[in-house]
Amino acid sequence: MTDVETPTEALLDLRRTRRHNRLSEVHWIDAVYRVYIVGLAAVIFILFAVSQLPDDRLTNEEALRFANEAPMWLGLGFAIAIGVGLRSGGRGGPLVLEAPVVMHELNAPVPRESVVRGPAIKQLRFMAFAGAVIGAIIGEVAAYRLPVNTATAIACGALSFALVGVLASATALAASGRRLRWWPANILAAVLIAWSALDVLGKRTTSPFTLLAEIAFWPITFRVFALISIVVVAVVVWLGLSRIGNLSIEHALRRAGLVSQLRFAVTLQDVRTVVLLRRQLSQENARLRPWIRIGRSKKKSFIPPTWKRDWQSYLRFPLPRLLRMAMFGVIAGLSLGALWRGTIPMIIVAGLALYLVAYDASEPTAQEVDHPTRWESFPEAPGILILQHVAAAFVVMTFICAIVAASALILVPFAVVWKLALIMFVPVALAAAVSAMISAAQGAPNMAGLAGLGPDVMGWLMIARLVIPPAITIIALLPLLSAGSDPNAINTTKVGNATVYSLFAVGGAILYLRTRKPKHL
Amino acid sequence: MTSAFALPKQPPTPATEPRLKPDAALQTLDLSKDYGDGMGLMTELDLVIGTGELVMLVGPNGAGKSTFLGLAAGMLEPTNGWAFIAGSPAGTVHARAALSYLPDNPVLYDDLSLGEHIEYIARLHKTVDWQDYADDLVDMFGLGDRIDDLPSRFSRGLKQKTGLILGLIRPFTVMLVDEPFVGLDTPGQETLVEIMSDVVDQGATIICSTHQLDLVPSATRCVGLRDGELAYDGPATAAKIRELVGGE
Repeated sequence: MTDVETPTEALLDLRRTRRHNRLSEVHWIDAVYRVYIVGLAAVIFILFAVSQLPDDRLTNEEALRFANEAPMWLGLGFAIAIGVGLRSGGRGGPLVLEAPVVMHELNAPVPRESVVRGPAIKQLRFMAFAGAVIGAIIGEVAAYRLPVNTATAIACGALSFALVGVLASATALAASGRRLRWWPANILAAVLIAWSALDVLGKRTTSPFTLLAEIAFWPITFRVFALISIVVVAVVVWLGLSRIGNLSIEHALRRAGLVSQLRFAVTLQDVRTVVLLRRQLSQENARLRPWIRIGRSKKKSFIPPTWKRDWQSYLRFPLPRLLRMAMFGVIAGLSLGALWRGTIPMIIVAGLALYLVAYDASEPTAQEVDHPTRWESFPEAPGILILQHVAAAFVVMTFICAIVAASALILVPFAVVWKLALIMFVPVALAAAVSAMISAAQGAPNMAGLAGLGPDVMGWLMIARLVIPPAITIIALLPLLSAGSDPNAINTTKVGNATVYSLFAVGGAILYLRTRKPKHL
Repeated sequence: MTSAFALPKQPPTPATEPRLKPDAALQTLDLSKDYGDGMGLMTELDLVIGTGELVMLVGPNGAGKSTFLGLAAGMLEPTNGWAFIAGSPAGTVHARAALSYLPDNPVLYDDLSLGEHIEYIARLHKTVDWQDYADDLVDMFGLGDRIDDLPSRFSRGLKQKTGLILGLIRPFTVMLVDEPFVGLDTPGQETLVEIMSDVVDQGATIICSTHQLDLVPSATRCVGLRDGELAYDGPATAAKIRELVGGE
């Protein structure tokens, strides 16, 4: 008989059964292997990061000066993380419940809080753990250059980043539980980021995120006011959990379906599907009305149809996508500035940022690949149609390169940027455009075909699919390394000569695009 | 300007809304849902469905049938208006206790067997003496030998049968069913028609989105939707259903 039992007991009993069923399918060797892989990746990252640091340690005075300025920058990074959380909360995130949980448990006559509280706490715990791991690694790396105790640096880094992880998730939960709409969530995120940016510009500590960042610098200088940020985090966590049962069922169901597909696409390394699902998840749809409408052609038009179609696509890009493209342009510019100042690994960050922008610029190409039947009906070699999309993507990337150059001016003198931009604009814009188009044009991996090659070859081919496209963009940036660091003696000839080699990679990519054919799944 | 928060408005009560009928199994008041692309339930829908009715919800593809059922089940948020289940606003605890909703795609856990699913749903809804009824339902749908299998690995038809069992195993006074005959074999369809008639005979209300003409003899009413608007509300006849589905 179950008439004395409450539904909440049934809920707890089910969770036990499900945990038992799930664990019974996980072999302990698999679990140990996963831990081993994560540990190995962390060790490799630490060794690489440490190897990039100069050998000399900072003096106490230099460290103190560093601890006075760096928290504002770190606080700005934290504000961006919280902004991302708010954006997610405004769209029904951050919780991802399984579809049956939404359908059966949230629709059962039990308080919805009792269903959602468990997953919410689990997510807060995970974010705290992930933040702590990242913070500990950064603390460990920083301790190599700073005159601080390593254990303290690790502990304070872990605490600061764990609190940020919790705060980002709790902010999203608070927004979602109060059904904050996307636009005030975005405005609030912008205000918080601007507040931290003002701290950076004014070199003051007013934002709670700057206070939160100061915790990471406690080994150098202990500021008691930073404790306020812990209280702020506690309050936001309480706000996040207090109305959690009020979340939108419609959003929860939509997210459940999309996220399960997203996980599957990530497993398959199907980048295009990941991008499409991520757009759906953040409700980033094409504009119903374009920014500028391109009218119907007259009887005789000299504008190529592909060129026109590409711009019709770009002119329907929603504002968040355009802003994201500009933001990645700024990141690429700042990274190249840091590269010129001697931080060589930043070339990878700049290359990846440009590649991500180019992925949006290659949207019309991806549309051809998504619709193989239409592409197949093109009355010429299929690769020709793909190559016709290069021109518009290249033009978009030249706009982005202008943003990159303007952002680099923050760290690099104008004369240097001007000279290098003249040489680098065309090859970098072209390389970024074609590299993203390669990724889009290769389509989803043919798992059945790859499996026939054996696990070793298959693994390498999967890695190559993922790595080669962004590598082309990074290769196009390599000539910058030969520019030299003296602003009065920039070696433009050497840079120009090196650019010729990077154009070989672009040529290879164009040849590859020419051979693409429609694939039916 | 829209509010910064998308919190639901305070629902009307019989004191503030004279049109509200607390004894209706399902009632909609000015209900609409606009997806922003011209689709959804475009005109404000006022509908009263009494207890013990078997209503066939019909209309061509894109007419708004699933949207209507989703709104009534509290799974979708209306752009305007209200849906009430047994006198309580859709989505509230009382409405959830009274309502069994079966979407067009059965939603099942990946890690529970058929037997575990049934037990869980029954207990979650405080069903008393569910075991015998569960055995009967499983046998009626021919799933007796699959009770320990994972339904997530079933075929479309078997998943549909599992979804139906889960919808029936729990107590309810109103059942909303979206295309339940899709994927079912002929014996499964006959069983479902039989069960639906029994359920209605016992006083429950069923609103079923289907074009299955086998259900016409048992149906007490037909509601037709077209382009998100109410196109028909009257007796269910095969001719009328063909006309509504064909969009003539």
